[in-house]
Amino acid sequence: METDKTINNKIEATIASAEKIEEATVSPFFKDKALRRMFSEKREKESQLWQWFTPQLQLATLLLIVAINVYVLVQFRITDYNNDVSNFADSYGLYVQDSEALIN
Amino acid sequence: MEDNDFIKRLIAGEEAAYGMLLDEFQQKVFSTCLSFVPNKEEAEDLAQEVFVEVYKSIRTFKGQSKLSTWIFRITTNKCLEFIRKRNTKKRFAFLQSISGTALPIDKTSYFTEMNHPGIILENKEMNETLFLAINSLPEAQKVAFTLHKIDGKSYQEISEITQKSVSSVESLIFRAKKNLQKLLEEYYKKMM
Repeated sequence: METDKTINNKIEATIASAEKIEEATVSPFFKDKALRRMFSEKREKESQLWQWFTPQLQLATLLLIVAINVYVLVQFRITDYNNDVSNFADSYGLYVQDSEALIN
Repeated sequence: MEDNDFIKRLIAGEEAAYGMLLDEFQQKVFSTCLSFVPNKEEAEDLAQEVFVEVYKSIRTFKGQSKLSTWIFRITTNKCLEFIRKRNTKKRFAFLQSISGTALPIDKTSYFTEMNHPGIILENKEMNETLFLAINSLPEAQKVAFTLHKIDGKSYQEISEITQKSVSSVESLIFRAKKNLQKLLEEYYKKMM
């Protein structure tokens, strides 16, 4: 009988102990951590847009751009420089005629 | 917090709006998580997951309930999901309890290591026993009892969070108490 009473008291005390749990405060860094976690997932998603542009592709693109530039530069140098100069001279009347030479 | 403009800012993904949301809810969400999962680190981790989930699914919030109710619903679901996952990992202990070789209230089969900063030393044993017993309750009773007795929410708030009537919540809490009494009686008898 006494044991039953003790057990009942213990049961009641255990259930009532829920009300004695105090509020625990959240860590002061919680807000920063949560914001970082929320927005890092967003940034990850945004960066996924460029995921197809792998470092190998980036290198290949860079080499292609350099090659095109070199080709254009070389082509520019090879084209008939003299033609260009005479065209330029024609346009502005800067050519020299043989007949005007002082000594024939 | 509940107005449309604020919700629009959340939908737009404004960091300042989420800062305000955290200022308002971080303590409450953490307390609810800690009521379900009495381990400070795990409860904080879960609370962070809740805010990430809010961020991801704010577009699905239609304003049919209060924003706070919606957040606490996410919190409760996250906690239950966590407990379910952890409890399945403790399947061995569960098999032991079926075969009758283990007590239904057993510290070794509990889903987490108890580390609740709000438990004072003189109540430590009783509080831990209570948490173990709550874990043996059916899920609906566990939710109603935990939200009311541990987290301190009113019947009305629990009714909104669980989308059940107030009388159903009352009934769940009443049955939870009865079941806890039975579980604790069995436990204390075996301990004597």
